[in-house]
Amino acid sequence: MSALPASDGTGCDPVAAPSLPGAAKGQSAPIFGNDAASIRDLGDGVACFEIHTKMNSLRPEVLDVLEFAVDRGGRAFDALVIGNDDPRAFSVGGNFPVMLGMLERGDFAAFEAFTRRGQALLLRMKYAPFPVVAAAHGFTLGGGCELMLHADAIVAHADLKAGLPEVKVGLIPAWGGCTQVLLRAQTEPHGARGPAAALASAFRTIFGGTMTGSAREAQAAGLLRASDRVVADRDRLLGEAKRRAQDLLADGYAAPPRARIDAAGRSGMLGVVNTIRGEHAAGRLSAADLAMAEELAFLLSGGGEAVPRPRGEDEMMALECETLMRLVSRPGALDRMRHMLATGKPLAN
Amino acid sequence: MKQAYVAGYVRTPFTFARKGALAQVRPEDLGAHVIRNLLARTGVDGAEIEDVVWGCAFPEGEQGLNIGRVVGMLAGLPETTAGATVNRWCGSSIQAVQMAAGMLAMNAGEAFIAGGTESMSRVPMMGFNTLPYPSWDTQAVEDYINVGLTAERVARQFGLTREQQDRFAFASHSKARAAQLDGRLAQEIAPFDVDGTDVALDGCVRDTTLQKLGELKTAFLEGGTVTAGSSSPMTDGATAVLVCSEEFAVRNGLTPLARVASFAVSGCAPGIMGMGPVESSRKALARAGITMDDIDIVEMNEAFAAQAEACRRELSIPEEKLNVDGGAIALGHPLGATGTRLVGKAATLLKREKGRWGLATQCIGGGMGIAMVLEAA
Repeated sequence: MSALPASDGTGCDPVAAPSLPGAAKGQSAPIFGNDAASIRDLGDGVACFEIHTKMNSLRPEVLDVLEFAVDRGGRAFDALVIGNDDPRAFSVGGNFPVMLGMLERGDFAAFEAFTRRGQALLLRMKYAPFPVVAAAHGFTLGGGCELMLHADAIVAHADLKAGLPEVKVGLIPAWGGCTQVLLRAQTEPHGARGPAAALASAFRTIFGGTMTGSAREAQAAGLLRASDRVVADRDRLLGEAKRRAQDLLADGYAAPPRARIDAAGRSGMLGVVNTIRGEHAAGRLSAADLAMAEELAFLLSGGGEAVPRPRGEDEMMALECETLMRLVSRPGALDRMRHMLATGKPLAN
Repeated sequence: MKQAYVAGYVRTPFTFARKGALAQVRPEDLGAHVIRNLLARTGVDGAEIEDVVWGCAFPEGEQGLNIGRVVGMLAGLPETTAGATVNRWCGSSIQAVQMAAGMLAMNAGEAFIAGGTESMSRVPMMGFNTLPYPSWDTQAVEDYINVGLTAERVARQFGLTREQQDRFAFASHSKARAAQLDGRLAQEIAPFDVDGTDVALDGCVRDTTLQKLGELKTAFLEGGTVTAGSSSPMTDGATAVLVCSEEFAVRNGLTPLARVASFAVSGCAPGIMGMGPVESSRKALARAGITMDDIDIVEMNEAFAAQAEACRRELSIPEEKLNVDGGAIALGHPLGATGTRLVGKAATLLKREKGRWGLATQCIGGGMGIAMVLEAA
């Protein structure tokens, strides 16, 4: 591995960042970054992507640094760990005020561009020619959870609080979250069998919008794979993640083959829609939630085709983005987001 | 043409799906258990059985792989005894009895085991992969598979109030509890050992009150009338009857319970599938050459109080002749196993109550009815 470079004029400059805990402590050195995120050298050819915004939320400057790392991985370093020493959060996801601000200004194009940028970046990271390991801990929510889902491997702290709570503000996970949860439901050894079962399983996880109370619950929810590791000692998390990255390298890491989604099509969508319409009829689901659930079912079915065909992740992500843009354009959509920002509670409008 | 006789009946206890005592038991084991016990009770040599005709509403997962063949093999039947799975959703195992009777009439065998298994704990209602036909609209799909809403529709269309449904449900529990307490139900049950504990009692029967039933929230429609209390519960269980010719019964020293006198299926609008028994029962009665006035015993499945009471009224079934030991609201409804319980129970009751004619009937999702008339042997 060559030495990690300093800034090369991409807007990511060397910064003084907090030290890393555990096994990596003493080996970490900030290499480049900005005030939102940085890349550190963990030694032995392993770099660490660390966010340092409030609660490690994801704003455009964070993506700048991750793009920088994805572009240089395999040359400037051999493997990447995503982690931090924040006691509370791996990442709480997209910076909500920033995203709401775009929509309140009526700049839907900027919102869509930010969505597509995140999608492209995470998919590029997933298929990068070097291993990426997420050291997930604490709050790992929304876009933070999607960041984790695109890693080759996850080493999770036992108290992981992971989830995709976007539905609580009337949105859906659109940085590949829907796609990756569906893919896990289809491919995990103990996952659901058959396209409709996988659709139903992914729908439950995403529409539930719940935050897991532990790594075990995250496995049950289909967010962690059977191959992902769980560590009880928070101080050992980054060290274990680094070791996992080294193991992947030692095993001759190659980027994974492109995944295909066995879309359930309109038929599978109808099965899920029937269930949620039943919930609506029984008074357990509002009309707004029903509409969102139907959008989600349509998306997870691969677009509701009568004769479904396998879908690529890029196609599914395009559907995610289209669905998200329809949802944010619905009447009352911004009210839900504003209410959550103001009160921390979902608005049932 | 040979006549078919019901010459033995046994079932497992019926228990709540997911939380009941049989929730961890594989459906094949439930099925094999009742076959073994049926042979033990009748003393029939398994080698004499031509075929195992087995009902199952959702034959996939643990209930897949032609469970009709699997349960026979697990029960210790010889390899020479065949096995088939029958799917007519809730009507699967009445259909299994009819298929056995039909084969018998065609001289395609002398003795059959007909029955069914459903573990709603281990294979969910609608299965693991619900894939309705893609060109159906959401209303058509709802009518076809959302049976709770069909019950609401029947209640509205036939004027069944919430209180009338609750009274029906209360009567079902009261009859079942009385039958449980004085051992009438135990006669048909083969206790099932779960980790060293004998499960011998039906687990869904409640010592409830009209007031408690009246306090339940509606289950399927906000502002509706159908509750979990006036619906049959998700249930695990298996049932089996011996269907044989008169000659076979004589040769094996069996005392048949009843003769299969007639059979009918019918269709109706899927959105009011609960009314299926009306037309199928009328057809079966006509084929037997009798009327409802001649019937002494009716075993009609209680998928929902709304549809069962509406059918009772439409068919003019006297209350005292209907489900005398309780119905599915109290006993449970393991979909593919229920039909054989109705046939076996009706046949048993004809003997016990010294009646001549019995009717077993039930509604079927998707808009169908099924009915079998039995004559005491």
